[in-house]
Amino acid sequence: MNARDAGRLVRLALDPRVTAARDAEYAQLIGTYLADLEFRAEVDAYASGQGLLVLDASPMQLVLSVTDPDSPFAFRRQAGRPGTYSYDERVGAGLIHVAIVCLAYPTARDLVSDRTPRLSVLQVDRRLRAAATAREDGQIADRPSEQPELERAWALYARQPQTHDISDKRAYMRGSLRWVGREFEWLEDHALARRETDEDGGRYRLTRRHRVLASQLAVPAGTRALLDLSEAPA
Amino acid sequence: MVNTKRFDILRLGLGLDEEPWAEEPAAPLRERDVVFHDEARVRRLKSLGLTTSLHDLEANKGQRGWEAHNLLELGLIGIDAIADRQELEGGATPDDIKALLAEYARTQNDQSDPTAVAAAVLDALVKVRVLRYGEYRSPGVHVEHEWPFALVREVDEGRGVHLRATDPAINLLVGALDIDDLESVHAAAETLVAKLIERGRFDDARRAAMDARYRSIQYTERLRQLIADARNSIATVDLQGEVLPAIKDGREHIRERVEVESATLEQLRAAAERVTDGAAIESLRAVVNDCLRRHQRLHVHLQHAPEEFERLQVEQGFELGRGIGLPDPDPELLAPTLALTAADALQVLEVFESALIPPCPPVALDLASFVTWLLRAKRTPPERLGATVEETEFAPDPDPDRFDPETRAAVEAMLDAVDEPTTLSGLLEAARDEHSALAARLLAMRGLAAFAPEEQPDSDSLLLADPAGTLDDADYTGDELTIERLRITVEERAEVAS
Repeated sequence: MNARDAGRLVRLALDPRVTAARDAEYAQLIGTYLADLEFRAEVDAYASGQGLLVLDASPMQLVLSVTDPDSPFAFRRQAGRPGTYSYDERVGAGLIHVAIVCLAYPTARDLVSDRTPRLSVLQVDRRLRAAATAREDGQIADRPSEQPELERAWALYARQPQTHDISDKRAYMRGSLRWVGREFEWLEDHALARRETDEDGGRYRLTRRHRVLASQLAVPAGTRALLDLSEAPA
Repeated sequence: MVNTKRFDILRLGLGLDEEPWAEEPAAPLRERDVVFHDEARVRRLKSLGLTTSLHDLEANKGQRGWEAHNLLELGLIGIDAIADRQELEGGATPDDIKALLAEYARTQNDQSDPTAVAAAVLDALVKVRVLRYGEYRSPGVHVEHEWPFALVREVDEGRGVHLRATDPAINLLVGALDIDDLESVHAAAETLVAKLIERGRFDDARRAAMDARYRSIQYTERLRQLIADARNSIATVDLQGEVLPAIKDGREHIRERVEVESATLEQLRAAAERVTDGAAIESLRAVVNDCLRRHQRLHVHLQHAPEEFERLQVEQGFELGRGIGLPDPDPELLAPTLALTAADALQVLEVFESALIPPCPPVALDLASFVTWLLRAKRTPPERLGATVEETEFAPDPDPDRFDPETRAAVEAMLDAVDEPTTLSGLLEAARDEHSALAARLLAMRGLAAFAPEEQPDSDSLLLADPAGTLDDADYTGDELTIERLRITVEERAEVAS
């Protein structure tokens, strides 16, 4: 085993479509990674040089994460470019991802369990709407027209129509069900979810990769960001 | 507040500078007073604005050449029909409503295209409008708010799109302002019906009953929402503290309504005997009956909801925070994020998302993969291709036998040997002595089955049991039975046949 193999393993792990079940070389390299401590150290070093970290290794796959936010592998949702998300959509998409994690793993214990839960598009939309209606009492939720950014996040989601079928069949990106569906597809593109059936707007099974990333990175990072925000001087 | 005012006057009159009763808590009510008036105005403004989409449609109908149509009327017919078919689950589909509106449009004028009119009206009903209103909490400060609303919502609960009338739409139907305490309004509407019937004003009563019915549709919608919300967030919802009391209140309210409606129907029955023209009473009765039916169904639904919630909570075995060092996502991430302003939430959400997404290798553009990307199968929106194939469901496995074959065989042999009437206690003792306690148990059950046979394929209807005093047994109590077996012999059968 040499540096080339280490690079090869990282390259295969970067491709969401490759799994050990489908690629014999990947399977063999992971086997070596799990068994051979020296090779493991080499792969870890190679990854860290690129701003990557091996989060989880199972005989099926290696889960990598980005440690360096400026790395070319880092994910960014670019704003303001044509064809990209509007402001509402960006907030909506973020809420949808948090809601997916919350529905799939409501408690800390679920985050470390071995389950790969199934969720439907409708379920996620309902969850967010339920959370919004729970807050509706007693608050002025209507958006201040001059400062739209002061609108509460839940109110932003709640005011989206659920679906928009009657007026314009082409405007299929409108309506919160479409948003949720789009985020699930996006998870699917990154091998974080797998579409199983079409019921309830699409039912997806989340993968182990999703759980690992959510529990080890996203949830701690999200709560930390919340904490920073509450500590920051207003 | 009155006290404060009186004190002000008093103080002016007496020339006092300081409050003589300083320790008395003088609540600053003035400001809240302003806010209260503000809210009442906002409500009235919202009621006023509700009809804008319909008015716009009506005002611009000339441009489409639909002068002969009354679009306002069609709009109300549409809301009416949608509210009417709105049940706990499901409701009218857009196609139903379009067809209905087209029919009315054709009746109004058959020169123009009725389907286009219907589509335009429905479109106006579902269109989300934004109403702006100001908030004047302190002098000189004016905060403008936007209130998005629609009269009808398109909802997809997993069985295709259907329509639901929103709270504002139903308020529009009953010609009421936005009142929050639906229970009181609902009760008041039904009391009005009863009073009007009492005074023999059946036409007015019918109108009031229609209002009461809209109120019950509205109430059902709110309860449905409550139950759906609780079911969706069963992990974190405060079942004992919030949801169950709300459901209990709902049941109480519905029970009262059912009582009042039954009394009203009784009242109508009595009135029908006095009056010669029964048509008004008959249509009134139909409306009240519909209310009663809705409430009874809702009541059944509410009865089962608490059990279902408790079962769900037990099944999913949620226990928050068990010291794994990780936060619980639901209460510690989703809830606080939703409460933030959109701008703050976005900061948190972007951190969350970028952590969630695995490394994305930068896309190197090459023509071959670009073409495959362009030609990839279209994923959305999912179109329905023919009928969905139902998943085959096999009958569940039969329940495992409670009694093993040997015990069964032994008991059957004992019962077979019953030639003349025998007491159950005797049989039980014999079973215990010769076989086991399990055999005795089976025997006791066979005895019961013989006494009250059930329609089951394996029931032995030739075994008869009659009560005979009290059972004297160590393990079982109850009535002593005399067990006897009917025997049909071939000769007897021949006799019957001849």
